[in-house]
Amino acid sequence: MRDPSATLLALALALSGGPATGATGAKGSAQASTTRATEPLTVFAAASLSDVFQEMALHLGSTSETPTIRFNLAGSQQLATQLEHGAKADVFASADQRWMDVAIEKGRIDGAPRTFVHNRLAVIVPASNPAKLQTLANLARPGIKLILAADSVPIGRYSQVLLANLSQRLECGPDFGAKTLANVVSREDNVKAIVSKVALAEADAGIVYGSDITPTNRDRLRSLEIPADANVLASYPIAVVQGSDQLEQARAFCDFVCSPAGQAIFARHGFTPIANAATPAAN
Amino acid sequence: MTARRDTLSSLAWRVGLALGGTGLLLLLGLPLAALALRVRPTELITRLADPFVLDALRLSLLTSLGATVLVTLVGLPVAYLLATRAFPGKRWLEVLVDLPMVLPPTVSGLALLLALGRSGWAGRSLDAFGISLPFTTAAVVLAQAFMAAPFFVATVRAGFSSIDPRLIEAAVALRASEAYLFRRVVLPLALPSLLAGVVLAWARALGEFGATITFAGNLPGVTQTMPLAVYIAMQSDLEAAIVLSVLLLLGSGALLYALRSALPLFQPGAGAGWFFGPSRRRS
Amino acid sequence: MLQATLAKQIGGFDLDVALRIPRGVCAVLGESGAGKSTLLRLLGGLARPDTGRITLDGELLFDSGARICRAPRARPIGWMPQDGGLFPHLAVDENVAFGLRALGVPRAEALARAGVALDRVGLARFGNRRPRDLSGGEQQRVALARALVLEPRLLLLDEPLAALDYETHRSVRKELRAALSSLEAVTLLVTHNPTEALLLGDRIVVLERGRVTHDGSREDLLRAPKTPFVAEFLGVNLLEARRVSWTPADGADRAVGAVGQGSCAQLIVEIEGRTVRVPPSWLLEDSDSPSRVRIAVPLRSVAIERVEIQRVEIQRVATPAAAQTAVFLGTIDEVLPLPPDGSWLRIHTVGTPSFTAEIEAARAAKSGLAIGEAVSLRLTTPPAQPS
Repeated sequence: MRDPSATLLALALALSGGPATGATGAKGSAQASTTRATEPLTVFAAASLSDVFQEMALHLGSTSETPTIRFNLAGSQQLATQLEHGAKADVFASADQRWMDVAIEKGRIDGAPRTFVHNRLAVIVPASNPAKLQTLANLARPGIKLILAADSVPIGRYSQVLLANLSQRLECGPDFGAKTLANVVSREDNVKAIVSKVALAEADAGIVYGSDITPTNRDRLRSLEIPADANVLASYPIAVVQGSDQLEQARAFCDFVCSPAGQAIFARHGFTPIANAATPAAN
Repeated sequence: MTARRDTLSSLAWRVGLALGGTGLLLLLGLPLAALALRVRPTELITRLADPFVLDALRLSLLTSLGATVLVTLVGLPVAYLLATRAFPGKRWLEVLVDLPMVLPPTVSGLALLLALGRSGWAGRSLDAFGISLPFTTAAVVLAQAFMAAPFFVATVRAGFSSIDPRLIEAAVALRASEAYLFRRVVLPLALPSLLAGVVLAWARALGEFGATITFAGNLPGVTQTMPLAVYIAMQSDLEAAIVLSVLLLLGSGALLYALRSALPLFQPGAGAGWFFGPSRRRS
Repeated sequence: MLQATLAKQIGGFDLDVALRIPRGVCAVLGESGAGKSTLLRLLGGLARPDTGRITLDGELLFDSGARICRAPRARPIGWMPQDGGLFPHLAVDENVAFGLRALGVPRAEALARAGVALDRVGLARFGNRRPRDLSGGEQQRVALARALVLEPRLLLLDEPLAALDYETHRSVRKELRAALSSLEAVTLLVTHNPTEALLLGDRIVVLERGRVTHDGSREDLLRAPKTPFVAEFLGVNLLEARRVSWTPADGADRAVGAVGQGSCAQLIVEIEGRTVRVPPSWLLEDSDSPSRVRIAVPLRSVAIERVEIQRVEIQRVATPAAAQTAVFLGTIDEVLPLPPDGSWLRIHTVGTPSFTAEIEAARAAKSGLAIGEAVSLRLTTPPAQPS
């Protein structure tokens, strides 16, 4: 039984008058078995989208009308800078609006971006919890090794907002933010690096996205509960890149990502689908 | 007929030399020139006051010097042993010492983490004494020393091996103990190689990135050396990255030039190489 | 007194010697590859014999059976390598003082003693110079001072004069002889130059392909050269012969006598199939076998002519009665004018056997003797002049 989303996609392609392309979806690299020669679709995506976008590519690849998709996964700040300097891409999916704005400012975006998914933050500790952290307030304890991302990275900026939010709460205290920041031992350039170091138990805690806790690393990580009203809701914008020569495919990709089928995949990976933004995220 | 072939082959030889020389000159010179000429001197000076830059510069200098001293202290005995002794497993020791030269720096960083990290082999014991290495400046020095050691050992070993064995024999026959021999004959005669080894090690330590960011992390003022600062800056502010890079380039260039000029002072009567054809030098 | 029995194999070469050398200078003579330097290094402790025993004045330095091997620094040796082996990064006086400093002698005293040693070799004011500023001869003298300052009981010199030009050679040789004569030590001086050996050595040991072929006094060597190498230098052709018959003058069973001395009997021998009469003074003392003897033919006792001229005479000398003019054939492959003015030529021929002959240049020119010419050679007695 064919997946309805694939039919939708095929319909969309047919309606837009694009040529029918046959291809096999691939995990980040092109496997050509096309009836007609098509360029792979180049998608620049934030690092936190690695796993979920790979699955989407596989999903899309099960139909014969979709092009192969090639991903460039890195911190959003890095992708925006690459675009700024002329890197060739078809789609840009950023983890925050800030870097999308930079790309727009440099004239690299075609049309308007739209938010395609949300993500809540998570505070992770190693499964062995060497620092015996029980609550978020513990993060301010002197001597804790906390890993954040650099400010230029979206998750880094979101973490700052989270810490500011937590400082407002009674149980944390007003200098919670300052004390916690004093515990930072490293500022990574992408969120996956934070996950690795906490999983290796080298750090006591790290602030990442909820989606970064995956079936693969679930047994090496635990998360501390964040009050829903303090948690930050990250919004991810997606847009077609200016100068793409596969506009139909690019738009189709963006459409799929926003479609119910795409959103279901996001949910499975721990993201917060756009329709559910108002409700508290289920951890 | 043969005279003509002679001239042609001699011409071919010289053209080959010129092409090769120009090729390398372009390969190395063009990118460095592009870097250096991109920045106005005034901007360079103003940026120097930025704490981000100063921290990185200071950290780079301190850690690279520390790493060089460490490498010299532990590398000298190894170079000496490799040059003068035969023992079972010598080949394996040579391979071990060469490995960091060949492995990708990130792999080396991971290895350091697994060995000296909190839950690492040796790290566990260190942790019991309250010594924790990752995310410290000491970790930066260790990572740099790890990567720089092979360069030092290889150079100095070659220097030791190239001493005229008849001088060694004469010294031994003149009642020299091994320690006295080392101090009064081997070390002075191998001094040029020793200095070359120090310079190479220092240069490698200064440019070290992959192992540092993996093992020591990235925190301004603690572990963010120049290469890391450039990398982070490049992801969001290319101009800042360029300025940092030029500073690094100028500093390294000046030091290398100074060392090259000073080196001949330490050559005990050695020549400057040989010329093909009538010598244009005096005596 | 140095007593040493040594055996060592290096690659395809093996050395096997037994030596007893008293105080004084002993020259170890041999061609390159004979094992001279190896012998020196074994005695000095810089190389280890496979088997053997070395004692110096009764003191045991090495014994393979008892697994005793004293390091060089524990042996009372003085070492002078080929080309001096001076340390390029040290001044001359520091070079000479090196061994003393290595033994812990304070710097001031060591340099003072070095100064005395330099003075003894005539380089009193050279202390501050660098080895690279010295001439070859001066470097050798510094190296000698460096070895002597340690008052060694076994002095080992490896080709001390090899790298020197002719002029320096003679002066350094003279000084070396003077310096060595007053030493209380066993001195072994390795050289490939027979003149040097004869001039400097009270004893001479000849080493060939790892074996001692002569061990005795200078006079012994002159009297009985055992190898072509030494023979040519001494000015004789060394030939293997088979004794045919001889008539002793005084009834003695064997001919005795040094080359150049007369004895009144006559001797007939066969050399390479040709029967020849030779004076007994040419016979070398030889204990190998009763019938095989060795003949030393002075270079000027070989008459050499171009073949055409001699063709007629060859037929005439076929009879035994004229045996003493038996003729050998050969081809000239080397012509060397002799000092001082080239009025005499030394000609080497290849044949069975090969010969070296000396002949006046004028006569050679008249006979048209040149390289490549086929010649006939006759042994003539008595020699025209003493060499």
